[in-house]
Amino acid sequence: MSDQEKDKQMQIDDMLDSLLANYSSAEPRPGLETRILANLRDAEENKSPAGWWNFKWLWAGAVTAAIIVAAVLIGGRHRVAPPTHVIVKTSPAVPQPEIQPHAPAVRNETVRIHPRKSLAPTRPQSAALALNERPAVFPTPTPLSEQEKLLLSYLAGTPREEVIAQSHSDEPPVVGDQDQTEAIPDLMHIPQKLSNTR
Amino acid sequence: MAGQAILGETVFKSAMAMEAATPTVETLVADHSRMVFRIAYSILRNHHDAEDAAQECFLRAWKHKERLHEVSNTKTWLARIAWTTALDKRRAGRKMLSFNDEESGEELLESFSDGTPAADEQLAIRQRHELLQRLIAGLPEDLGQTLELSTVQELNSAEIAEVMKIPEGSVRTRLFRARKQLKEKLAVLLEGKRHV
Repeated sequence: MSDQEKDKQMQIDDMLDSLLANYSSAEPRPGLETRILANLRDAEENKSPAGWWNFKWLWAGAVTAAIIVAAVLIGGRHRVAPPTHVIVKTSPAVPQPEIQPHAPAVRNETVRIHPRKSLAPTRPQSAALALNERPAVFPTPTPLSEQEKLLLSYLAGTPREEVIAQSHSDEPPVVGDQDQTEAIPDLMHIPQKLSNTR
Repeated sequence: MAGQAILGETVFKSAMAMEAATPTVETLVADHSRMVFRIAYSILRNHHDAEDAAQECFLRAWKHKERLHEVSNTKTWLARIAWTTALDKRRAGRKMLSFNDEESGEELLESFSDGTPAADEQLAIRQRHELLQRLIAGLPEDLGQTLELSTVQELNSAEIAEVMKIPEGSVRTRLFRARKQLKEKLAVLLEGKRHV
């Protein structure tokens, strides 16, 4: 290596050293420590309320969710079951009330129960309650038919004897001799020994 | 009984010594804020960004203040935080200048002339820094980062190795290779200047 090249290398080395020596010799602006400490104090002051705030919201959300779940569960249990497709017929064993002349005919009632959307078990009490709904006055008063009105007007305008006479048939029953003999029991054939009148 | 009393006293003394030796964030700021700023400045090359990085560095340290007693060397621990914070900041926002503008490099070399007027000295220093910044930006990343940390006066090779989590020998090797490449680039610039 020639002296010229050595000089050149030394010049470059010196240049690089001088460049690097001052490369990071920058000084911060006055008051850097104070600004950093103030920033840290701000962070410390803001940390606690923010943490408590988040914690509080977390708890509020959890409690609200628990209340909603409890309400849904309780509401689902106590909900009255809507009618289903089950067809319930009135039991024939139930004694039927006496049929009055102007009472509506009692017929077998069929109750169609609509399907329910939820899968909760059906409650037979609801159907029974629907069947037990009876009017306050039984039989239910209904307006008279035309025939009933005519009958009432006839009875009102006709003497009692005639009504009684009208109630009997015009022709008395014909009873023949054979029928009369058959009607009278044959007392002659009764064995005497069986008599205990003696 | 006497043995228990001695043992209790020893434990109490060691606990007190540990408490006294454990630095607070305030003492860290007082002792190392300048170093933290310079590490950040060596990477970001801007006073405002370097101060922001220093603030963020101490905030990160403050978040781990409960575990400060576990840190064996708070200086290198803080230096590493400053280094990673500055690198994050540089990656996030700033685009480093690449050394492609040869003409601009030649202009900067003019400031090395012996006849630089004193009035222009500040400008010359700034231009030299820009020249070196461009040269370092042209280096491979591992060499450039090692060289940037080596320019911080507060850090020696062992501490740079601890900050970068590499062996100390690797630090020396990287510094040697980085200087060699920088000298080659400077030689090219000087040759170009002489030919002009």
